[in-house]
Amino acid sequence: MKTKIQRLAMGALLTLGLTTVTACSGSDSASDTTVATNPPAPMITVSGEWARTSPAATDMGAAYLTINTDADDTLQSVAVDASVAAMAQIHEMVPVENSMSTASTMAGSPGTTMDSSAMTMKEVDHIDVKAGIALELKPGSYHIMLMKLVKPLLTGESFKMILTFAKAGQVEITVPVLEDAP
Amino acid sequence: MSEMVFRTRIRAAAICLVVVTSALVSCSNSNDSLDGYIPPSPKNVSTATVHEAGAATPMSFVPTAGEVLIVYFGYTHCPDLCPTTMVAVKNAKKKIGELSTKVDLAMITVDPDRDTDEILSRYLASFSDRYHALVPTSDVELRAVEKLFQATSSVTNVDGEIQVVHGGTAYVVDSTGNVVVEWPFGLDAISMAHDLTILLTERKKTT
Repeated sequence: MKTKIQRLAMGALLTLGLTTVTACSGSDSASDTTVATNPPAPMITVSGEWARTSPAATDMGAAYLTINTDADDTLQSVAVDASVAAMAQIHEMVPVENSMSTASTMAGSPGTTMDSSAMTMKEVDHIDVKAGIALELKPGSYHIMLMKLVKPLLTGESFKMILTFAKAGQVEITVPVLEDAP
Repeated sequence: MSEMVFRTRIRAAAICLVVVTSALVSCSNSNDSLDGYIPPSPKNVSTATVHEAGAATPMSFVPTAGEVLIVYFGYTHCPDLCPTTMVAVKNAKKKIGELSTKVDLAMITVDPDRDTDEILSRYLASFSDRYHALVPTSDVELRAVEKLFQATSSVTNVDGEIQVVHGGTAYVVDSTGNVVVEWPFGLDAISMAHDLTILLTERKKTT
């Protein structure tokens, strides 16, 4: 279930590999370096992308994926078509202690019995992606929140999502809708 | 800013580590011990008083002998934790076949301003054929039931954006009204099914 981007990225990887081999063999034929940009943009590979089937009566959704890159980059924003959701944001689940210190206007007193598992969701401005380290967006961690879904996400459907990276630019992926993690 | 993000990432990694560790522990468990977390001191929730829509008396948090009740504090605008756990419960019930008829599910919304009975009922019907949609009618009612489970939640309006804090734990109550096992967020359907099988089979033996 490889996306077009993955294939493109793999193609690019292959090309780079060939270039390296060429360089090692001492040839100076630079004509086959089809991805030669100076400096080359990081090559982003997105895998395992999926979005949760919408439970009834909710217009919020979440999408998950894994990002790999060959050079450090930053995921700056995510976008979906207006026909899917009003907005997509990068979110992260954080333990409640963290949010408590930042939100001074807590409604309702938490009381004395602290629930150590209490968490809340926060919008994240960006996520750094390190070369060689897979960045997983997964339940209970980072996720892409789809706000105000136009219609429920149904199992078996899919939609396009665009990830924008600081260096690599835009990466378009097709996200299948699944009931549970693949 | 980037340092803050980094710190939260470390924390997220730490959480993942905890989840992974507990998963590993659960894998090494023998077949007759529960995968979830057993409360160190008994938590009896039989006095909980939350009404289901239209009911004259509060719902009983004490299941019939030989059955269990799964209780979850969540909200329907929750895109990540709640559906993850609900799907795990749904899949766990699928795994245990016939025994699943003895599993009841109650979700108490921590966001009663947005979750009506009707909304919560439709939401739960996506995950279980047997459920109780519980919308506390007052903050006092919500805090009282949370106290019994030692759960916490809050709803805050931060610059027009509603921020909800809640625990990701699912509580399993048996016919004594005690929480017999707690499932932290991230526990998978296999472990839940494992625990349900033990709890329901033990109950069968004793009744």
